[in-house]
Amino acid sequence: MNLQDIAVWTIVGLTIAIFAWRMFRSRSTRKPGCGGGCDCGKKR
Amino acid sequence: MSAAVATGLELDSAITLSQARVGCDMQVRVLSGPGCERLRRMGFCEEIRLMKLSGGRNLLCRVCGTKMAISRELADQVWVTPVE
Amino acid sequence: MSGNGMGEAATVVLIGNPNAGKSTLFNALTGANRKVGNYAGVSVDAAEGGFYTPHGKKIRLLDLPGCYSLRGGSPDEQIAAEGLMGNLRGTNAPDLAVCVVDASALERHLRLVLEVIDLGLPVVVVLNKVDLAENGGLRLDAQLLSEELGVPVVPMRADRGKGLLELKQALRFPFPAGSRVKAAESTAGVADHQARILQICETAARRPDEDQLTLSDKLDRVLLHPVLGWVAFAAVMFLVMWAIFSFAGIPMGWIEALQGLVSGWVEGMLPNGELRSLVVDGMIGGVFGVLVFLPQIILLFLFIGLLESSGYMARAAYLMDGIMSRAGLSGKAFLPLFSSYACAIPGVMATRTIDSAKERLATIFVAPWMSCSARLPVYFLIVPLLLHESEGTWKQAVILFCIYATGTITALLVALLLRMKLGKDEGQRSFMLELPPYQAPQWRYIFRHVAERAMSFITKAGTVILGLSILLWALSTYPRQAGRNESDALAHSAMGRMGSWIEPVVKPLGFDGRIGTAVLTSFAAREVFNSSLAVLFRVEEGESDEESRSLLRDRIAAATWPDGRKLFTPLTLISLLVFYIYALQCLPTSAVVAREAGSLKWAVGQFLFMSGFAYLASFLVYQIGSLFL
Repeated sequence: MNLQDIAVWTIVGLTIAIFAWRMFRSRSTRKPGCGGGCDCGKKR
Repeated sequence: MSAAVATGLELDSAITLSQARVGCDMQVRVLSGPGCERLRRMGFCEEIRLMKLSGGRNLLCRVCGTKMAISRELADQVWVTPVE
Repeated sequence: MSGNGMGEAATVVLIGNPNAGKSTLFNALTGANRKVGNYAGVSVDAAEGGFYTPHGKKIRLLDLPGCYSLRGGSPDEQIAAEGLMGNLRGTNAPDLAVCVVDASALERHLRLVLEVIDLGLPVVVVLNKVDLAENGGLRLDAQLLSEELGVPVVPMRADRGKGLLELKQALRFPFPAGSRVKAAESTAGVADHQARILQICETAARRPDEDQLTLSDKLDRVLLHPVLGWVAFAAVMFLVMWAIFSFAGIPMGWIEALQGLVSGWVEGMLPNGELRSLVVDGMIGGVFGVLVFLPQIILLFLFIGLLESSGYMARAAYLMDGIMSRAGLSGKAFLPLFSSYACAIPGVMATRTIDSAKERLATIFVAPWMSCSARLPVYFLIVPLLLHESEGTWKQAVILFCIYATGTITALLVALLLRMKLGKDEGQRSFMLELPPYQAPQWRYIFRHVAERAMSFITKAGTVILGLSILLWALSTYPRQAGRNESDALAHSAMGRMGSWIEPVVKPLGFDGRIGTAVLTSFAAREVFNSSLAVLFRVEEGESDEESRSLLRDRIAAATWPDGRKLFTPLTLISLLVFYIYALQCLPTSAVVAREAGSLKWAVGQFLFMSGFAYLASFLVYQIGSLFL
């Protein structure tokens, strides 16, 4: 495993972790909002 | 002629908003029908003056400076007389 | 209510008819950026903000949805009434109500004011749009009006910020008491109010020359004409689409050039290998595959903002009422459906203005078929493959128009079927719509709003899309098999295996395993379709840098089936378009539908129905098309 592989797996692993954390977090605070593209989540 | 008779005669000549001619100044006399509460809330009240702008499926009229569209079914519940 | 000390915030609500200018005033007072538009139904729930009066008192401001009367029936009117009583979740009973009235329609707006005054609450009346009133021939006397009503009256032009200071000073503490002039008891009926309104207007608001034709009237002669109005409507819609195609070309070129620059810079920095592939093909390719469509997004929202702000949308709703009623809906459903062209979520929420519960459900059900802006990157990738720019941008605009028309027409048909199944409404058809005078667009708000949407789009690309692109790259690279060429390695990876598994399912639609995989991933976010294609259709290694940096579009155009046949034939492209028109691929939309329809069953049913419909439609288009082409 060279340096490049380590870097790649770090990035991929971090990404998976972030997605998992977001899914877990949104389960407990059910709020509509897709992260952008519409202003639904904003103060209305 | 007593006032009551005069009023009665006037009301007899009232027509519905649907039947009214386009372009005439009208005064609302009576509202009768299931939709009148809604009509009153939106500003179609007794004594108010309005002008019919166009007829058809949905009528256009100007009520106190505001342009409104109402359906024919609702317009059938508004009785008006022309204003001289 | 004057029990509040200087330290506590006082709660003030903004109440008034739709279009009176409450949200504009709210934004001006609190510095917020609540959406404004020149039609009823823009604000459908309450918003909170705060500001300080010149005397240092903190005010908690609640912007309620517009309502014509406190006894109204539609959901947004109920919210307004509850907000006034203090029954809304998370709010207290208000200490004062600011009634915002459109001065140019004073006779009609006073009804609500009298109802609020009758509640005994301290009231301040804001006489907004005084300029429009004067231009419309209304002779106003704010002082007399104040005496007649028994409450302070503040003339204002909220869009220009004139009168704001006077309003803040009128909110001096302790608040003015409830009206000194008792209306004929608080059980005053409608007729009593009506008599009072006429009397007040005689004194304080007269119309000496009612019959003049305004500019709005002259415009409406054409725009509301039974035939010309339709021509104008179709022309406006077509023009918007054509403009989006034409004007977006140059900025798209800039973004593509930027992608080339960034990729080139990274390739210069990193040696050939996994990391470089991840960054250039996965991250940069994936994100730019979506970002390149930013100009179209901006133009779309700019035009929507212009149409909403000018007052034309109410005319469109009037014109559409005839057609919509054939689908069992009314013109009132047009505005929520039109909003869904930007994003279905505010569109679904805007259905709160519809009184009829059954009509509301039907509208909510079909709203996702108004092609939302998230589909634009997919459409704009596919349409130029069908028809190159050189054949004329207007032809591409026609295709886009047909795409939108297809979604809309099917939606209306399904709405009709649904209405027939749900059954007739109690009560009869009662279409009623106010047509506000045309206004010059409020440029400041439009630009702010467009900038917000653009930032949202970029942020989503830089976060969700970036993350998904990284995952997609990993899935399409591992498990690795050394020594094979690119296409074999892809087939061996996790995504490749998923592709071979899904291929039999999507082959009847004209898709291969790679397209099928890309479609599957786009259920996470529609735009990811482009990113997936970017990852799945990577060029072979060993080619020169220029070739490897070629556009996604060119790579797709050159793609083939294993036997050498062209993959993206016109029929496959059309089948793909049809799928995206009908597929519901947005979990947040389903969540909002479940909330607004009041039942999870509706949201699940909608998802299953639309997914199945998309598959079937795509299947039919491809299979029947194959017989002819």
